[in-house]
Amino acid sequence: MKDKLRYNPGDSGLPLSPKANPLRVPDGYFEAFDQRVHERISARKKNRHLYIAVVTAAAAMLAGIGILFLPGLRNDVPESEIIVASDTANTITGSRLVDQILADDIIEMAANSDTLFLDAGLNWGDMGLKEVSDETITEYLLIEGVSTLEIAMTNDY
Amino acid sequence: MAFRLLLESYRERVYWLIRRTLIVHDDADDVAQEVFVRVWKALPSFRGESALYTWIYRIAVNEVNRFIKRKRLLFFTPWNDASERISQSLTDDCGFSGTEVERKLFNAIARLPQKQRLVFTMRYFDELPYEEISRIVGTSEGALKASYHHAVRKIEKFVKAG
Repeated sequence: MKDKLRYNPGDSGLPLSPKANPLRVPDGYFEAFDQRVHERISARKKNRHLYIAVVTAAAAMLAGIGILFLPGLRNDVPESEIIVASDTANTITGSRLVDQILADDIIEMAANSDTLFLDAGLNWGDMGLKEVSDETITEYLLIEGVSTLEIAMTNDY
Repeated sequence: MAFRLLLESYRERVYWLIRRTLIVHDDADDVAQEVFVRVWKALPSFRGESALYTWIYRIAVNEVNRFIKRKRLLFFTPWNDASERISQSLTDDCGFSGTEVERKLFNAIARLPQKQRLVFTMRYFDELPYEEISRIVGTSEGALKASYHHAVRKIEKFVKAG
């Protein structure tokens, strides 16, 4: 089988000896070959050192950036919650934001009203706030969906 | 020191395997150098599971395949379309000093598919046994014999048409 598949160049008038080599190389090619390989290896070594330096610098830079922004990244905020930056550059989460808005609204209403609507141990006067009338509070609670019955019940407290 | 010895021992065999496959000297030179750079890198991990020259030949075959793949990507053309370039390199100015028949032979080799060309080169020129070629290219002996058979038929057809 081996012999059958073995090419017999004589059949096609091709060179009889497979060893015939008509390809040539420049003079002294193989003598200089070793030197060129060593030069290529040296170039690779230099490139590797450069690569390591660049990667180290990049890693250091990334680590620096990470340290700078780490406090902001430390908040374990669920994805569903929106992160909002306030004027003071502090971040607050969505649930805190709702509380904050409500508090802001109440304070704003208090500031625009004539009577104090709530006294939870705070000295509103010290905060420069005015009293809120019962009507304003009722109106606010109705807007918020609190029933009139519930409002009436809270009047007893 | 050991690497220098290795270079001296195998540089010509490796170069000619590559040259007969790629035919163009500049390409063969580039790939042959790259083979030895890879040998130098991988030498510490050589475990002696195969003969050293089998191992180096395997690296050479991989490097030839990598080179052809790179050329294909670079020029967006099938490797066989490069046969014109190879034909042009078979002139006296480009390191070819054979007869017209030999020129035809190399032109025919240049038109072979990549794997057939490598198998034909190792079998016909280097006279490596199929068992050895099998270890180098990682293909069964049966498949190699078929590959060589197809290569021979194609070369004959090309030369006779010629």
